[in-house]
Amino acid sequence: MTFVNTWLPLISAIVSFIFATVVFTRYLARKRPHLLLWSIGMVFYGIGGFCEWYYGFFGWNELVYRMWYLFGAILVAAWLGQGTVYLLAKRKWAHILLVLLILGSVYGAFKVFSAQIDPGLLTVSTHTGSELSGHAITTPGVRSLTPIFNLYGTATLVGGAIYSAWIFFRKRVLLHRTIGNILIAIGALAPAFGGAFSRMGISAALYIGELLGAVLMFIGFLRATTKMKGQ
Amino acid sequence: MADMTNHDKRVYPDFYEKFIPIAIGLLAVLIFGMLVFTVVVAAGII
Repeated sequence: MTFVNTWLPLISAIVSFIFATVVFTRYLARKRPHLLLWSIGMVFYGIGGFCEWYYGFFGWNELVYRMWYLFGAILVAAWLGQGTVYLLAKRKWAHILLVLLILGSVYGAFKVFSAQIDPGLLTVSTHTGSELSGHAITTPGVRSLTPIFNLYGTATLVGGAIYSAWIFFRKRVLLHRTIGNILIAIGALAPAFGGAFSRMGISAALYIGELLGAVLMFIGFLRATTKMKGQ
Repeated sequence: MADMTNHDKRVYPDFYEKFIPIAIGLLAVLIFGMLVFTVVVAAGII
């Protein structure tokens, strides 16, 4: 048990749940669907962090592992990205993509909860140390779902934030939204880079990336929704 | 004589005028790299 694989993910989870509450409160006031989807996505982010903390603190638990893989590894980016789709795309396309995402999520849940798991493979995984990874799943066709969801999520969430920042910058309006979107894009990329570095053998990179991601996206959201002086 | 300076062009404060295009450019490169990496990893898994 180390600080990195226990308290770091717990802090990520706490930040994520606070962030989700702030976004959901805004949703209740404004009833905009992208806010609801972002708050759902941040709850998934928090569940992922909580499961990582549980594994680091108490050790192996099959249910916690399956929940971590479903919410933390497969669904989180895609649901956050779906919020951005509702913000930027035509409503008809957003609805179609949401239906596909819901169907895909149900299928993903079925696959994850029916998969064969070998926890022994976690400890022999050389590049993850005592962190959670997908290596314990031995049933074919489960881990291959992850990049599909993450490609969609990263492209829409990060791509959408960069696109929004560029539009505001080009028009030289709403500086706070330009800065906020840049921070959201950096924050959304952080866990993806953490995962990539983890694959390259850099231990702790994933959990650090996740914490950085939650904090930067939260700051970015607050920046984008709070006007600056003189505006 | 008409004033030839362009008073209408809106600009952000200096720091942001320099920083934002660099940040957006870097992020665009990074996301492209990350998407390529994900596809390569996916090809490995599938």
